[in-house]
Amino acid sequence: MDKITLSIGTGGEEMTHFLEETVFPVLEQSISGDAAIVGRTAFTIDSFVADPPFFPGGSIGTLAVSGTVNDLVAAGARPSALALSLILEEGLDTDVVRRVLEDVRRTSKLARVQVVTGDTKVVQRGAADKIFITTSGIGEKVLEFSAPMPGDAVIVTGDIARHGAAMLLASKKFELEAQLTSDCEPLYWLPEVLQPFQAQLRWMRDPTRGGVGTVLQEFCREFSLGVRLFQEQVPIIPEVTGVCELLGIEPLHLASEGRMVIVISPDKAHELLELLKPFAPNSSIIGEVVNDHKTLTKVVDGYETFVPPLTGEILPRIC
Amino acid sequence: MRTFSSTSPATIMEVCGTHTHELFRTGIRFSLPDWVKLVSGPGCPVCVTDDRDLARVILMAKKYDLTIITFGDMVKVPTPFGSLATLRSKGKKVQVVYSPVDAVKYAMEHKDETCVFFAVGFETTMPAVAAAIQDRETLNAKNLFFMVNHKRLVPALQVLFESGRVNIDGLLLPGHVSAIIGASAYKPILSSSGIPGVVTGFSKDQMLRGIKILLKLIVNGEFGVINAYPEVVREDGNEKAQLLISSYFEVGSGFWRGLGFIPSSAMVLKKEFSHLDAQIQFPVEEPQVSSPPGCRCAEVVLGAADPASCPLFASACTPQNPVGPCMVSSEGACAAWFRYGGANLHG
Amino acid sequence: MEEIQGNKALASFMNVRREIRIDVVPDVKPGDYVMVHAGMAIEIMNQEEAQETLEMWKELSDEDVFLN
Repeated sequence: MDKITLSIGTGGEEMTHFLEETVFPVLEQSISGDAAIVGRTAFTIDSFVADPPFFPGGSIGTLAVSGTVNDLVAAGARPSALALSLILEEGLDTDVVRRVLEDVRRTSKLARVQVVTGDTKVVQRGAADKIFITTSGIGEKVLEFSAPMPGDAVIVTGDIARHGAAMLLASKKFELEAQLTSDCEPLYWLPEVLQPFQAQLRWMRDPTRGGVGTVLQEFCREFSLGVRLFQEQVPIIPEVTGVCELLGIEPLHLASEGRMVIVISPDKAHELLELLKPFAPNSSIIGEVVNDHKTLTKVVDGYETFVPPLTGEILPRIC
Repeated sequence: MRTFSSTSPATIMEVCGTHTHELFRTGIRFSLPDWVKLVSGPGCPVCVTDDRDLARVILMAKKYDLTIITFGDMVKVPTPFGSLATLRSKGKKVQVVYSPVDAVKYAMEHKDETCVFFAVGFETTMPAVAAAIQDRETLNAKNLFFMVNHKRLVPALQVLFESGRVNIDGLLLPGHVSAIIGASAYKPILSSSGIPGVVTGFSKDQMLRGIKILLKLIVNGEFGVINAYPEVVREDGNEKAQLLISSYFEVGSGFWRGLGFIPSSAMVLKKEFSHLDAQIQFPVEEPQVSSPPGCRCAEVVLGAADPASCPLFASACTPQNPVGPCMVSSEGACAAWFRYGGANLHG
Repeated sequence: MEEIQGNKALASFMNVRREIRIDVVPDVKPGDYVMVHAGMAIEIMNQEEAQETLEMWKELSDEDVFLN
């Protein structure tokens, strides 16, 4: 392909393909999109281009902190500092910037993390869409992961896909109305809760762009194992189901910005669930790691089907 | 009583893209006994749209600098002249709508653009397009034109039976097309072909209900139509919808991928609406198209070949790089097989 | 089906509301369930009348024909 298409940004198959065929070969290395570990420091970077910048439940500022904090937590680190880069479009209301930064302040305070350095650039009208934020974060690695095995439990820390669904409605492209707020929040409390489970913790990822389905598919590819989900056990609110049914979207492909998918040895799964509940009341075991197949499937009413990988650019900019 | 076995199965054909996918998604497809074979017929409107029609739209857009408005599925279908997505990446405007009446809204909000709504679909979609044309007239959206490529299902089924290319023992009939045309619309062709057809809904229970009744009829050697979706489908269908459709459209002939030229199988704009007919207002040279080498869409669409038997399936032809519409469309058989693993899934 | 205004109506599904056209189901009332396609209600769902018809086919569909 010789032109960049929107579908590359969706976080699904096209992005994987783009990275593997175009990005990594030129850089001469394979880079993980999640946090990297340099010594005992976790280091990550993420860009936030959400449209619209303000949505029910938060703003691009809330996302800029939560997204990066959650990436660090997913790597097993306790987030300590953030760097923030703003690209502002000429003509943007200063008040928008103020409100976004207020959300940054509030969210970083909640997450016990500091914005220690930053940069601001202004570009001509049209060269950026209102406001783009890039956040880089560091943290200290406090958790280790062991190799996943068949039988391991897959847990999600709350109802899924709310951010993606809320953004679809906020984009106003679909003429749907519902009371739906984003689930955007920083999971700063998670590393502490997971400390007692060091020996049994296998893998974690925050299911942002591409959703729970995409991160689990990455898991399957990385470890050559399969995952079997049980639809009835996946927590989801009716409004999200409604939006997905109406638009023909698989909820497992919509982003959550305040959830973690955790793979843990089965003997500790329920214990972990109990400790998660005070912070994340709808945490639930949604499935298990298997090796009779090596991909992602879900069981609905007793019938098992594949969860197909995400393709295409159905979604407007959601994070 | 007829008997069947895994080597000589009862073949049931469904002719609705939604059935194709839902039968996979609910897992019903994998739980059918081994003496039953399920094939997908021409039920995906995007898949049966001939390449020439889409190519014509693309040439039109280039020559007259038009904004093309259509359904999402149509955007990535490839032609020798590229797809609508390629057109968009080259700077032309391509707008996706969920409802045809949104096309009128778009045209009213973009008075400086000349827009063409590319209408595909069976009888289920025709009322919505008719309503859009009605809006266009009442609101006088002079910058909106329509390229109408609607298809009628029953004439295509007739040709399919007469061709002898597929051996079908029973038909699973589409719930929503039937809501418009009525269950009785299938009586003539089912009587003449001597096979049973069951109008079926789309929930898991409704599909199981329809299939079980159909299999029972096949085993008993009975033929004719049974309406197993009476919640929504009536004997004579929705008369108001039929009236709305006939206000703007009339029967014409058309080309179907896989089936070729079928008389009386299309719905075209009535002559009094030629002022908004894109084909008349924006003439282009008849495009030359040919099937990409190896692509078996034309046979898949008839149920004459399984997607897995196409040499390009899952190798050169995937949802990211589709060669034919059966892989592009969310209702296409190849897309369903690819997404749900098809022959490779256990069970 | 919630509010109705002319040829438009507000329908809801799992607490998600959307405007649809009701040109071909003019007799629709609030509280009715409709089948919608491409933003247009194509038929009103009729559970009671349907039950009678479905009773007729119950025998055919209940039997475990899969066992043949």
